[in-house]
Amino acid sequence: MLKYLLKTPKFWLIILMFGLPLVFMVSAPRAITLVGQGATFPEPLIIEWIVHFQKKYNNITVVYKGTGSGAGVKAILSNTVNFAGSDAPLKLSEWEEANRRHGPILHIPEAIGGVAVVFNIPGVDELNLTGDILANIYLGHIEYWDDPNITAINPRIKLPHERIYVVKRADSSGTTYIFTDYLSHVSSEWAERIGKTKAFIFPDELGDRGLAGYGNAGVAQVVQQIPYSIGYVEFAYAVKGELKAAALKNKAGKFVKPSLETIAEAAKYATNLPDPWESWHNVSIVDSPGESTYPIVSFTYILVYKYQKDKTVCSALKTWLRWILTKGQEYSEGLLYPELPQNIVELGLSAVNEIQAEENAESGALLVGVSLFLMIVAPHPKGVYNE
Amino acid sequence: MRRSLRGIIDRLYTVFAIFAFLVLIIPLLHIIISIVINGLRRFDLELITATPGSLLGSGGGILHAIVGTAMVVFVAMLISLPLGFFAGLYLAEFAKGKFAHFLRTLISILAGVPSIIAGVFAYTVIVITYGFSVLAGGLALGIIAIPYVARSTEEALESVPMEIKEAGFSLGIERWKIVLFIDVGYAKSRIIAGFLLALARVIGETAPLLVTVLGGINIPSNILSPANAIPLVIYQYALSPFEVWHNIAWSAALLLMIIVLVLNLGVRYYLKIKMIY
Amino acid sequence: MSRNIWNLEESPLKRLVKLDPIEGVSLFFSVLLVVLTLLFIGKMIIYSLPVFEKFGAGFLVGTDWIPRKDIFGALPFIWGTFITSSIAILLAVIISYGAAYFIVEIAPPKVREFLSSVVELIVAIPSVIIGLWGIFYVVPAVRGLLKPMLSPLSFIPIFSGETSGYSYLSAIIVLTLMITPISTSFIKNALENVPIELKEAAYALGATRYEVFRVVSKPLIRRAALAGIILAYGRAVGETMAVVMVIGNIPNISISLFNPGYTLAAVIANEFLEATSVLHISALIALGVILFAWSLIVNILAILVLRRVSMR
Repeated sequence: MLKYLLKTPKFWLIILMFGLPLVFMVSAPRAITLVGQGATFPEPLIIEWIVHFQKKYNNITVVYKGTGSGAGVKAILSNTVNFAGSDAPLKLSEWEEANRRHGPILHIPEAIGGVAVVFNIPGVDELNLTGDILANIYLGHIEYWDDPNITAINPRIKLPHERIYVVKRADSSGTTYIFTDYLSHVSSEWAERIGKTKAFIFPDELGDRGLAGYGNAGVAQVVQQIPYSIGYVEFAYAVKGELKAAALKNKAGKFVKPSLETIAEAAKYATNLPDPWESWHNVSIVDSPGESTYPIVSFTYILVYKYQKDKTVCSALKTWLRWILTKGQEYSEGLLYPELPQNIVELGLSAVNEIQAEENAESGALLVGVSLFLMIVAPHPKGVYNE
Repeated sequence: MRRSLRGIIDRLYTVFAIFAFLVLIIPLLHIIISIVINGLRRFDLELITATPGSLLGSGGGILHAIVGTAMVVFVAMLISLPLGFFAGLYLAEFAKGKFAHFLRTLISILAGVPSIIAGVFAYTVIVITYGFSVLAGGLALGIIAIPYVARSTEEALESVPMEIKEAGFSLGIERWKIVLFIDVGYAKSRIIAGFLLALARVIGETAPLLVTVLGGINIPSNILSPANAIPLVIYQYALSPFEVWHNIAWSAALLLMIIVLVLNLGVRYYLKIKMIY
Repeated sequence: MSRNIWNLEESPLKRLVKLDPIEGVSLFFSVLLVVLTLLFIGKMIIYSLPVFEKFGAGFLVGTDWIPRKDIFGALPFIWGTFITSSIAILLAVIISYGAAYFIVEIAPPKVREFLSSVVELIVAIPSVIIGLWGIFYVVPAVRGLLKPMLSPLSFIPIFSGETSGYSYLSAIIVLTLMITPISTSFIKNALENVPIELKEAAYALGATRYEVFRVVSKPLIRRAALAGIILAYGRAVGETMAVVMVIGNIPNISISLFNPGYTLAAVIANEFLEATSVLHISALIALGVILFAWSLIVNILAILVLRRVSMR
């Protein structure tokens, strides 16, 4: 039969139709791919960076998935990505685990951002809030927009008697971490009941007024769609999503709306930063002093290991990191992230210099077939997901 | 029952039937109209020739997703066509009792696999070791496609009239030739239609790709590159707060709809032509 | 059902030796398919075991889903899948019979094929597109139109409470829209195949059009209709994208259809990539196994029922 088939032109047509593209796909040079995962907080900026970076270095493909800081941390701990993004620095236990499993891990601040408290009240454009009131809203104690606590600090605004829909992040989020860090600073009840965390469940007092969105984008969209809702998103999302941001009372007692300037102010108070190779679990710049400082501000970090397995990946990674700390910063302000102060840029650059490769490891796509079969057949021990 | 009462009931049901039909059709029309109206906004050359661009501008295009879809669907077909076709062929031509029944049951089981689970499986097999890739997405979609290919192949071959097979048999033609040329030859158009319909089915699948291809903005070059896909990019952009991306999502939806429509109608038309003799 | 005219009484072993190349190749791929499918099922079951080890059968009735604390309970999702697909299939059945009746009995014969093509078109629409439409049109409609319309009925538990639009109801609407065409086309095809003589006989006896449908057609199409309904139900249970975009994604168990909810498929899609522990992944895969088993059980029930439903 085979002899016959070999003579049929149709047979060869089919072989070519499928075989040719397959050969191309298997043998095409892979652009060096850098995969990053994590925070949605800086995602608009990272997307912008990738667009411009790849124009210059088109043999390096960078892919970043905004899956939430929690997922990013998990990914870097199991070393399934080249770099991770997280607004929350690694917890001490996570940092120790990372060091134990894959060697020294770097915290590189890539950007500064503010968390805007966005609201959707038809007809209302301005709103003052204090940290305490915000905590009470999220704890469920304040149910209506025209609650006396809120109207007291908003004398010129007519607030409706409507229930407040409270939106949080459904996924494990660094933005939530920053937000709850702030709430813990300004409300003792919050600090006690919930504390600073990447994810929390709504207190029972909220009843059916609690909503959740995935990623900063998800929360922004929910607030966009649902009248009388309140949520917290990274500032760029508030602006791009045309959402209104509340003015928060800062440490100096002034009501300040988030903006490039007010967010940048907080960075000035970032002193005593640890060495990038150390743990950053204590770093926090929320509720910083200063007249015109916006209170909910944080760094967002790139987490990356010192020892890389592959030489080409290593140098691509260093090129990428150096670029975002230098040229990349030019795009920051356009997207409403203040530029990093120079001292922090240098801190990052010096750390990047220390990243090094071990040896060269290349796995050809040709090995895929055999390994694939083994993968399907081989029994997996529990805990395989982490390695 | 009195005659007039029966007549009233009949008329009532007629009204209900018309109503039911409208309930079905009107949302459909609304969907299509809203896709067209919203989609025309960004239905331009840039959409299909450019990769994503600056959020401060027009947002660029979805070339990366188009290439990604093409590659992922290609791999899916590569996996599902041989497996599905030969399984269907086997069931139709060579089935022998227990194994055939078992195979058929298994195909039914595969048909009932929720698409997200196919993605989860591909994740555990491929993504864990090779990372997010076209291959992983193709495997997931392939799993979904196999039952469609197998069933349509089997049905197509079963429709071959016995007389034709017996004629070949009586002429002393070898069995493999009868199966390959006569049966498959007779049912060829239906079989190919089955392939195309399976393709049309998986080209719009999103859930399995969520966990297998990563969905970045790169144009995949290699089977192990991460990728994006048209339905996936629609999902990502729809869930974002950026108006720029919403517009692209609608236009991508329009594009996808056109592709799916062309495939489905094309198959129908193709079958019609082939059946006229 | 094999139209096998080749072998009559050969033993399997003999047949194996006499294999010709085509049969050999087909057999090879078929066996390969069987092996892969079994490995697939096996792998999924193995991966789901850890969470059952920890919670036992309690996992199926657990109401709390707190990944951070490694607490997992499947009930909110089982409830969500159950409520949305049950109501959707109920609506689908009612609408399907009516729409199929319309296409076959009321509409002029010339447009019949066009109409059924249009109905089948909906099936071809990718679910993410229906989800896209759902976010921008259904959710606001539920919030702005349906809720006010139904507020006089809000004493009934299923219509109580406020809504953001992201709700079980929105999910039910999109699901119904997606699955009704499936059962409609099955019923419509079956109706078309009812022998014309039987219907004419009934007409001759003075039956109205509806009575012919009720007395003559319906019993005859039972088998095909049931097959279509089962297929539609399976689609509803496993549907991911359209649901995840409009249901709100909150794991609670509530009676009110206006509340947000969650389904098995939706939570897997949302949380799989960010699962933070072995147990979390195991729990998600376990939900997938539940989902898988659900459609399996439905199919088995269908086969059993179909065996009893008489044909003619």
